[in-house]
Amino acid sequence: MTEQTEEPADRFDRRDFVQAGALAGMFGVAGCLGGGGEGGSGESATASPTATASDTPESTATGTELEDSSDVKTGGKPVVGLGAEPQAFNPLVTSDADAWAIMDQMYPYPTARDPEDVTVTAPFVFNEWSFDPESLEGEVTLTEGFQWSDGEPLTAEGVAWWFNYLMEETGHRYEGNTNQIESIEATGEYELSFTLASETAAVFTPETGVFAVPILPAHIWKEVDDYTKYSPTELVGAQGFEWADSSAGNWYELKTNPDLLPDEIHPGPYVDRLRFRVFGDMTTLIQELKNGNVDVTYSSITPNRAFQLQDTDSVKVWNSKSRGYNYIAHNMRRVPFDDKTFRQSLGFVYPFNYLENQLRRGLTEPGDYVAAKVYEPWRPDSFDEPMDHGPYKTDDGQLDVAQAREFLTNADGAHDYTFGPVESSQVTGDKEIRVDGELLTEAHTNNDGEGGQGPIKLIITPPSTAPVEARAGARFVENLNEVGIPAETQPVAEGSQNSLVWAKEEFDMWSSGWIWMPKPHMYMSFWLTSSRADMESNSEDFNLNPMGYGNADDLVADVMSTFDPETQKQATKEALARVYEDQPALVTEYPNRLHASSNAFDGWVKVPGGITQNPWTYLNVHQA
Amino acid sequence: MAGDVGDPVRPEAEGATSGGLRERLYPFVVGARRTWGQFTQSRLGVIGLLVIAAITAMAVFAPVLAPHPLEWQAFGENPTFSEAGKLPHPPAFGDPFFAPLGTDSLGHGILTQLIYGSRTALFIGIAAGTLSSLVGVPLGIVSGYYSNSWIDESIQRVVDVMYGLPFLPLVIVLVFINGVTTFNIIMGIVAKSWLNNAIVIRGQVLSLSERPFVEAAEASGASDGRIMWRHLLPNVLPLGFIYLAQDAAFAILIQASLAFLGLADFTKVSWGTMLQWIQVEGYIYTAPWWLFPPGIMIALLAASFYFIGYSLEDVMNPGGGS
Amino acid sequence: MARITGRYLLNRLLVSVVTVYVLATLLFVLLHAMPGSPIDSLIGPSMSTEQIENIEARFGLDQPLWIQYVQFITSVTVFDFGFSVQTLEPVRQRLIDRLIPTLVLFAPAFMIQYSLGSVIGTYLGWNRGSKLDFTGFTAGLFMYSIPFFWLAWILLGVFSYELGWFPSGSMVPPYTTSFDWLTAVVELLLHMTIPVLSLALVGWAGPMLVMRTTMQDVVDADYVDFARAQGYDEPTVMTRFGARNALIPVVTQAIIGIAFMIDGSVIVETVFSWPGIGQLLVNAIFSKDLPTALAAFYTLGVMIVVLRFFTDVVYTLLDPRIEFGGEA
Repeated sequence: MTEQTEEPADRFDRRDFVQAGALAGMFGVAGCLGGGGEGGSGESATASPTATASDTPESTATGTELEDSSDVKTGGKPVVGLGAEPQAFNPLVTSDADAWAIMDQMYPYPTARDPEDVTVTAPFVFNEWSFDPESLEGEVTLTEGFQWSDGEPLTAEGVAWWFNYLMEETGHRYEGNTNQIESIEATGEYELSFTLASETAAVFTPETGVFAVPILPAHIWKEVDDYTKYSPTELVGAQGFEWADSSAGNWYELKTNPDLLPDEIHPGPYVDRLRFRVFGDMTTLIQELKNGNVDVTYSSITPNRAFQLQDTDSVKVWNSKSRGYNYIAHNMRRVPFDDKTFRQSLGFVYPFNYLENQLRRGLTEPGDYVAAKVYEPWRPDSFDEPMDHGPYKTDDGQLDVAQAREFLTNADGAHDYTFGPVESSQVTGDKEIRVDGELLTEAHTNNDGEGGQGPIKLIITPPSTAPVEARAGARFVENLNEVGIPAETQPVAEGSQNSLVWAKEEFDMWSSGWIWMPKPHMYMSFWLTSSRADMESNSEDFNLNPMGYGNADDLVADVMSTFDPETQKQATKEALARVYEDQPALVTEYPNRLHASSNAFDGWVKVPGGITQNPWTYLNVHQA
Repeated sequence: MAGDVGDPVRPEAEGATSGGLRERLYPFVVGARRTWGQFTQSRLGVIGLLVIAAITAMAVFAPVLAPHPLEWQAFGENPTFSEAGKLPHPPAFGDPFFAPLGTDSLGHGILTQLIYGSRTALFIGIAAGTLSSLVGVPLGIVSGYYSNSWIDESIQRVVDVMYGLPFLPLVIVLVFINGVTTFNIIMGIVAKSWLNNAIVIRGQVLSLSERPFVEAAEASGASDGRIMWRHLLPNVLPLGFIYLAQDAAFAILIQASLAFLGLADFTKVSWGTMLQWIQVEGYIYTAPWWLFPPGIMIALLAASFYFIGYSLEDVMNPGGGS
Repeated sequence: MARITGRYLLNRLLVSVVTVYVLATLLFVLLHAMPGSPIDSLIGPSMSTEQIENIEARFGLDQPLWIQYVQFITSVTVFDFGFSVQTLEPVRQRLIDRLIPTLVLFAPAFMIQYSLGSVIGTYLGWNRGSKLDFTGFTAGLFMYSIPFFWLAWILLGVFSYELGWFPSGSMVPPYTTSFDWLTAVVELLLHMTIPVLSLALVGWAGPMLVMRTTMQDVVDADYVDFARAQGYDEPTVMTRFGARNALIPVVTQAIIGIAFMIDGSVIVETVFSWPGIGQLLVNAIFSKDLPTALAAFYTLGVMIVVLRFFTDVVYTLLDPRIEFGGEA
């Protein structure tokens, strides 16, 4: 399906948008991989492809139909605009989104999402597969015709070697996948057989299955001594493109070679070359897009830029629902965050409306559960089902001081809250909160339980990196002070947050970057269970559950151990509701992903992951 | 070169009740009077001073001058969707709101921000300039007075080494490590800008030390401290003012550069952060009413400080180096 | 006030060496003052303690601090900065790649700035107190005060995006690696025009100010009067007798000017996506690639030290009468 026949909401238009908001979940084509903020700040660490997930179908997402190759105009050299210099071309080490933009066009995956129905797993390097959950054994037949760009064939032997290599090595990004494999070997030129180490719900699913690992050229990697130091300057791929030329840090060019890719998979690529150009800043990138020197933005752009671009005739903006979310984590070791009702009350204070209407210009959805709205079937049916839980926000998403105070004073939680005369300089409201009769600045503890920690601090990324999140955070703090809860923002550079939050748990509230959650129900086990937390904060290891939350362990375990899709959905609803009830983290929004493209090329394929983050787009793109 | 000074060697004002403060401030009074006298000879310097006075007035009377309070937004805090779509708004007069220089992408008035932003700029300029003088001038005097001693030698070596450090990169690294606050930005700037002060003042003191009045003071048994304080300081103060003004201008420009790189304290409105925001929000080439004013104000204020500094130098130093 | 001697140069050399040593020590301190660990970006949430220790060992972080210090100083001296924590490449290679573009941009920019500034300064100083002097002096100071990146935005907006005369950034056009020399020169010039123009616009005031002041000094000198008396016309007197003798302070000023310009590379290269060391430094800092950032910092510092020493030597050769140590 090309643009002419798309649903209107697929394309970005200000008039359509208002309707689209009401249709949330109906047309949810969504999400993208990597590219946190506008600066392409890289995949969040939680998005590392280590998920174990069931082969349950995708949500209501739909895809783009590929057109008949006979009427396609071939040739052309589309330019993909990158927001920053790709760091290292080493898939085992780097999580840099800009490097992945290029590596994804070189290294094929075993399977892909069917572009026409993304709920279906489509063959790619793996053509046919079978797996017996009882014996944990499986068989795979490879698609014939894949070839490495240096002339070597892509065979079962090479694939088996590659997986065995990953199983032996440690510390790489795919360890979570390959340590689930007991053994894998080639049984013919195109046949593989494997045994898994333990029962696993997802085997072949793209992004989340055991085999969701890019396939790299074995004959090249056999020569690599130490993968942690390997950083090639030219890549050998097998996905229809070969390395043409590059100028590190400036541009990278791939040459089309359709012979490397079996027609059975896709008849493309149709273009002559695929070019990647690095722009130091987004402003230059957008200007060059307007001037026709760039054809698509790889990372998501901000709503402000999207709105400016809609008036440019030569540019289209693609609006996709999010599969991920932004959240604010609460450190539950500390007073007053140890109290559930206090955490719940923060939802009444958070500026949902400001974030949605002003900062995002409507291109987001206010958050509640730790699952984006495109995962409708998994989300609780209402705030009463499957159990009574909330909602912990005002009806219109605007601050209601009286309601917030009332909620706190009436709460029957771990602490008693009262409001009295203002004493802290931060507070702008007419009253200030007391926790068990003490000023919050006195009651406020650190991880060791020592009080007197002063006002609550919200760690945010500086606005030059994350303008929207920083401003929303600043407004949240203003609202807190208006209610009478003394608070401050604490800007910390992105690179320094990991150790502060994940290793040291040295925070009160932390405004996280955008997190990609391909299977939110499965990801709960990654950051919302006690096994992922350093509950007493006495080790410096990295833990993805910095909140110290463990109250939903049983429900999350139920989700993980349930195989039947319907039962699993029910279990997920219960777990999501419990997490929402407990509020270890305040999910603030599910921000839309926005990509801009020029009119010089057609054939962008929109599947979950947006138009830029799937192989089909680059195989399918052609001159308009 | 500043003319010879017939400093009356006044007796120590011990026990004098009213003389204490005046005594202590005496060097500054003399220095300031001398500076002022020379300064008013320069047209450009007076222009600079007038501009700075105007900007200072702007900073002081910001709440009166600005059309709106700082937190004002064109369509309120929670604009409707279509209202938010009109932002950033070009200059608007009358209904529905008054924004003579337009608004930014959040609806904040540009003129309002410009007026309040003068506070940060002035503060950074004056604080950085004063601090580098406070470090540089005493070190320069000491170094010059004890020339060719180990004190001079060590100060000189430190200066030499510091000169080899790349300034802006150093400030960037320092600010990045210590956190982006106005205080850290000022400290980062001062860490390097005192060097010029110290060197030039030292040179001046070296030539002053051979003057009769210093020798006379030495002969009369005045202590080193007293000579430096009473006799040398008033004579190098004009030079100190030159560098104070130049350092102030420099600090304002550095702050803007840091803001451009994303290293500015964004919780305070400043001209630098206004430019940072237009960049982050992506309106550099579409909202000239937002782009031009902060840049012009930065240039104007920095230029005024330079006007003062260089015209002072011009007046005092018509014959170049000593 | 020692006269210029071999001892003086030896002294300068010693200072240079000490400066480099202090620079390296400072880097070490900064590296350890950074919040978190330098290898944070390499550590993933799924890693075991053992894996983290392996990585620490690779970057030498498992050693006692003083051993780390000694190792750091020795390796930095030979420009061995180890591996980038982002790109996994040896940092040295990246520095070399980036050094050339920086020099290509700044050498001509510096020369243009200095010739322009000196010529105008000569003229203004010679005609001191004239209306032209006032205008030129005021204009120079004002342009000196313009935030560089802001001017660059305006020039880019006009000449690149509106008129389309010049490219908006980088050094050569994309998608080609080999150029015949004519294309290479033409393209390089096209890409350099706006950066060099903005640098010159902002920076000419520096040498102008010095030249102007010194010319004032010279204008009444006896030998200038003597030249006039001999019947040379005014322009000749100004250039041959006046400016020539005023050049020495300008050369002194150039030392500071070079350092100042190298400083500015951080901004210039970021605005124009110029693939030089300044841009590398900024990118590395923001992606928390500390080995690279500090290596770039170190290289810029060494560049300044070397240039300063070089100027000292040249200076000495040019004018053996110069006195050192006492001048302001």
